[in-house]
Amino acid sequence: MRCGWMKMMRSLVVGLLVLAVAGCGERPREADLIYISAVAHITLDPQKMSWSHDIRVASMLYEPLVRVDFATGAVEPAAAASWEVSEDRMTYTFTLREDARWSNGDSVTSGDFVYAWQRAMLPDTGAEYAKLLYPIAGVRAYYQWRTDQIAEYARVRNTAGGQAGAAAEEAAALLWEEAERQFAETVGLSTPDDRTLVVRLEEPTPYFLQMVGFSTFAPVDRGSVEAETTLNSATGMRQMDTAYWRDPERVVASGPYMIEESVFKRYLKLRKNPNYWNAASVRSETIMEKIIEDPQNAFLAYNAGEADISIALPSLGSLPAGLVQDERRTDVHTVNAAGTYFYNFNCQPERADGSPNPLADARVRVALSKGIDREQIVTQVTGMSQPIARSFVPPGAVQGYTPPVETGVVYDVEGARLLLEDAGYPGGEGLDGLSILYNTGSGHEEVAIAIAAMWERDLGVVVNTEGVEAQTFSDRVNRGDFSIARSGWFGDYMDPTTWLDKHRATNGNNDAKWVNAEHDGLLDEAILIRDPVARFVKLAEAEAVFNAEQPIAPIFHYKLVYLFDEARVKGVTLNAWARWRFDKIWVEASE
Amino acid sequence: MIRLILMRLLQIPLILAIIFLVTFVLAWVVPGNPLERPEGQRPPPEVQEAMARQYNLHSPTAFLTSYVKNVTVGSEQYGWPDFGPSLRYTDQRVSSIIGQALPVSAGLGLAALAVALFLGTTAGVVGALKPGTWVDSASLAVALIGVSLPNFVTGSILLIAFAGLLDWFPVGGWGRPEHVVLPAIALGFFPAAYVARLVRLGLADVMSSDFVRTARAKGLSHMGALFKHALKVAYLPVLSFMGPAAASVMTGSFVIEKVFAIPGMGDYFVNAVLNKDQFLILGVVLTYSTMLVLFNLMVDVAYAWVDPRIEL
Repeated sequence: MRCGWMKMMRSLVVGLLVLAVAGCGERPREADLIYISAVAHITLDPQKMSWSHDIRVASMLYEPLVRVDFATGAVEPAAAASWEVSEDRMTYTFTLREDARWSNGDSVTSGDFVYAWQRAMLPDTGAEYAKLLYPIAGVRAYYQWRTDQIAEYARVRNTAGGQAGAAAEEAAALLWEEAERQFAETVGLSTPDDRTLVVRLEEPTPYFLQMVGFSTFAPVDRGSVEAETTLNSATGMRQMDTAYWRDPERVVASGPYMIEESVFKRYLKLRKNPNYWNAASVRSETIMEKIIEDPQNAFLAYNAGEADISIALPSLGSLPAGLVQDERRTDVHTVNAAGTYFYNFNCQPERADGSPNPLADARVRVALSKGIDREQIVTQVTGMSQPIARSFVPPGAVQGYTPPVETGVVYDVEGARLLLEDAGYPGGEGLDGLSILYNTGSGHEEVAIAIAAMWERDLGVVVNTEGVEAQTFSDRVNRGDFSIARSGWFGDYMDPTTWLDKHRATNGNNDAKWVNAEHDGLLDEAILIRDPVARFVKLAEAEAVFNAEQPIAPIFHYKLVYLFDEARVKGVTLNAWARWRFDKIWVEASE
Repeated sequence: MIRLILMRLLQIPLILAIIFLVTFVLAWVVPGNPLERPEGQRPPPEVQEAMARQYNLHSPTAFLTSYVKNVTVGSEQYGWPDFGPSLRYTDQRVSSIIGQALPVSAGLGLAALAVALFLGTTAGVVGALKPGTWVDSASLAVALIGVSLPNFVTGSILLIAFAGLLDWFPVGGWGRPEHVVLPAIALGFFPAAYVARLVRLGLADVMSSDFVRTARAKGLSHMGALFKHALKVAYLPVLSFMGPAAASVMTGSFVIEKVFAIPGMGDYFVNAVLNKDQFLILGVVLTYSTMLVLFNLMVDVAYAWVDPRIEL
C-alpha cells in the first residue's frame, strides 16, 4: 500500500516535469499563416451563411461569379470571366471562365451556380439570407409556393394519418418533381450551355453585381452535394448531411483553398487548392484559423506568438480600448467599419400597456437624440474614439454615396429642451416610463448608463437602464416590448439600401416600427432611376427624411481593431467591410 | 448485491425520463428564438417559418415526438441515438458535439481528479501525521485557500504566470499533453482542498479509535496502522464526495474551459441555454444526468464494498 502511494506520487511528479519540459522551447509552426478568430463556425454551407466569420472562410473555399474589392468598391471578374447587362438592366448574362475548376478537377459549370442558388431559395435549406435572391425574377413567388406546397403536404399527411414506407417516399419524390418543374417555369435563371448563366431580374437592381459576390451566391459542387441530399418523406423536404461542409474527405471547393482538417471549436486548417484557376496568385500554402472565444485568452495567445493575426477582438470593451490607446504597440490596426451603433426608439402609437407612447412624437425622439453627447461617449465611455454618427449609413462605406450628415443630429441641449417643451414635456416633466434595453456584456451597459445620465442631467428625463441576456433581448426587440433599445447594423453589400431598406414600413428588420410614406416613396422612386449618381441623390433625400424624424439615434460608427505585425505579415488590405482576402496575405520569413 | 445493482440500473430510465421532461418544458418556455441573432438581419417571416418547420420548432408536440423517437429508436440517416442537430451550429449533430466534447472534458476531469486525490490525500495524511505542527497548519491553510478561491482566479493566475510570463505552457488550447497541466491543476485545486480536509479530519477521528489502538498494541507502527487500517475508513467520506465531484469535473467546467480555451462540455452547458439551442440543451442534460446517476451508483457500490455494514 505504502509502496503504491510512493509510486503514484513519483510518477505524477515525473509526469508533470516531463510535460513542463515538453511545453518549453520552440514549437513547429502549424501553418504558413495563422489567424485567431473569436467565434466557432455556425455553418460552412455558403447558402446558409450570415455571420462574417463564416463568410470569411467561404471566400477562401468558394469562388463566386465576381469578387468585390471592398477597399475601392470595384467589381472584379472571378468565376465569371465577363458579363453583359441588357439595355433595360433586367438581364445579366455571365460567361464562366474555361479554367474554373473544382478541387476534384471537375469544371465549374453554370449548372453548379443554378443548383446552389436554388438551394438558397428553397425553404428546405432554411437559408437566412434567402431574401438576397428576391431581386431575381420569380424567386419570392417560388419560395412562397414551395413553402405552401410543404405545408399542404404536412396537412394531408396529418389528416390522412400519414403514409409510410415506399408510398411516403413516392409521394415526397412526386412533390419534389413538381417543385423542380415549378422552378424551371417561374425562376429567371437559365443555362444555355455549361459556361453561360442568364439571370433575369424582377426589377432593375443596381447593386445586383455587388450581391453576386456574396457567399449566398457562391457555387457548390452539384454532384457531391446532391449525393449527400435526401428527401424526408415525413416532411416532404430535402435535407442533407450537414457534416459534409466540414469534412475534408467529402467537401469540394472551387476557391483558392480547400479544407485539410477541421476540428469543431478548435481550428480549421486550409490548404491551397491546386486546381484553383488563379493558383499562382495564392500566397500562403496553408492557413490555420484558430478559434479562441475568450478575448483575453485570444490576446494572450497572440502575444505568445501562437498566431500571426488576431481578428478576435471585440468592437467594444476595455481590451480593445486599452490597445487602441497604447501608443507603444505598433501591431494594433484600426479601421472604421461599415456599421453603425445606434438606439432604436419604439415609434408605435401605443405602449405595451395601451397608454399613449411619447416616442411616437418625432419631436421627443429628436430631443433625446440631441441630448446625447456622442463625443463624450466615444472618448470617455468606449475609449475608442469611434467616428460619431450623424447618419445611419456610415460616410465612406459606399463609394459615391454621401450621407446627408448635415441633416443629422448634433449634441444641442438647448435645442433639445425647446423641442421637449414644444411636445408638452417642459423640463422633461411627464416624460416617464422610459428605459434603455440592452443585452448584457460587450460594453453596452456603460454606454446605456452614460446616456441615461446625460438625459437626466441635461433634459430632466429619467430613464431606467435594463440589461437582459441576448436571447431575451432579441425576443423583446422583435416583439416591440421596449421603449428604447440598443442596436447595431453592418452592411451586407456595397449599396446604401443595405441600411436604408431596414426602416421601410414593410421590412421585418424595422425594429423601431417606424412608418413614413415619404421615406418609403423616395426609396421606391430610387429603384426606377437608371443614372447611379441621380439614384444616390434620391437615396440621400430618403435618408434626410429619416434623419429629420430620428426613429433611431445613431451614436457612433464602429471601429474594428486587429492585431498583426506589419513588418512580418504582408498583403493585408483593411477595409470597412471586415472582408479579408487571405489568399493575398503571407508571412515574411524572419531573417 | 448484484440484484440490488440491477434494481438501481432499472430505475435509471425512469429518472432520465423525468429529467428529460422537466428540461424539455424549461427549454421550450425560455424566451427567445434559437434561430435568431441578437442583432443584424432578421429573415422574412416565410423564411423564419421554413427554418422553424425544418427543425419541428413550429409545434412542441411535433418536436417532442420526433425527438423521443430519434433518441430511443434512432433515425434512418444518423442511426442511434440521434440527438438531432444543433440549432446554433447547424453543421453539427448534437451526438457529434458530445462525442467530441465529452472525451475532452472527461480527460481533463480525470487529470483533475488525479491532481485532487494526490494533492488532497498527501496534504491530509501529512497533516494527520503531524497534528498541531506548522506542517499541519500549512496544509490546512492551503486547503482553506483552495476551498475559498474560485477556480477562474486560480486558472487565471496559473495562465498568466506559467503561460503568459514564463512561457512554460501554451496559452490554452487542446490536443497536446502540455495543454492538460494547468487546467487540471486549476480544476483539481478545489476538490484537492476538500479531500485534504476530509482525509485530515477522518484520520484524526479514526486514529484514536479502538481498532487502530488494537493494531498498534499488536506492534504495528504508527505509519503502518495509518496506511493499513485507518486510511481505508477515513476515505469513506472522500468516496461519497468523489461521486458527484467526478461527474462534475468530467462533464466539464464552463469557467476553466473558457479560461483555457478548451472545447469541452462545460461550454455547451452554458451556451446551449443562452442560445436556446433546444437539441443541445436536451443532449447535454441527458448526458450529464446519465453520468451523474451512474457515478452515484458506482460510489454506492464502492461504499458497500469498502464497508460491508452499508446496504445499497
